[in-house]
Amino acid sequence: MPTTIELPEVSPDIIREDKTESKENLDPGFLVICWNDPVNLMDFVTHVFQQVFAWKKEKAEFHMMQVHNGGKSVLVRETMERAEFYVHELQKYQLHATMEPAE
Amino acid sequence: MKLVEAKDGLYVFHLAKRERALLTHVLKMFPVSSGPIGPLSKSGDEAKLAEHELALAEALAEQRVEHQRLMDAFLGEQGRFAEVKGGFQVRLTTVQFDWLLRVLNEVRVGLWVKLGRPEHIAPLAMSGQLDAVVEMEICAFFQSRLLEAVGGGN
Repeated sequence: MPTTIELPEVSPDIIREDKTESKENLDPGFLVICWNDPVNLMDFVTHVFQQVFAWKKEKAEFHMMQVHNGGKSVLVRETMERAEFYVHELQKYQLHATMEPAE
Repeated sequence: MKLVEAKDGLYVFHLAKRERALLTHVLKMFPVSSGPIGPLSKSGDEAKLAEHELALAEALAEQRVEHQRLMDAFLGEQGRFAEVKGGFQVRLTTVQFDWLLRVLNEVRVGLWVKLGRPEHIAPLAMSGQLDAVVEMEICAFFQSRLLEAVGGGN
């Protein structure tokens, strides 16, 4: 006659982390701005915008012309973390990009 | 420098002998600059941003090391420039293509920074900076040829 074995109660190996993001990290309150300079080639700037933001050529050219004619272009509005990421990517191509509070 | 073929993520360019020498010359100048092109932010809280500025500088330094490693591999690889009639052929994957554009631009912008970030570059040729101005133009020449291959360029 088979006996019944009582198995210990096993709970899944998942630890729940009550992680909280700061308001700053979640709020899309930062603008990524590209500034004009006399050294980067216009077509190179268009190429970089296409690479970094996966934009179509028309949109990339529009922002490049804003930089060229107006001195700067607001490229995206993002959270602090994402804005920082984009500035890093743009500066890795030697474009003068900064992140600024949206207010 | 002319595009011979662009197919399946592979670009084949033809370079005249002189062009190969000039390309190698400017590539060997890398790295020219050592810091970010500008600050991370113009209006943020400086103290709060200090850590982030450092992270940017570190990211760029890491990239320079990686580019230098790729550069050594690129220039040192046997058969990288295959001799053909009237010059050489160089094959670039899309990753190498983007890398080459970045390195050329870093040399060009780095020279500009060293010259004091002038608003107008050409007049510097008359004031003892001819070499740097010519080297910047060589970089621009190759950048334009590469960009033409992907539908940009002059």
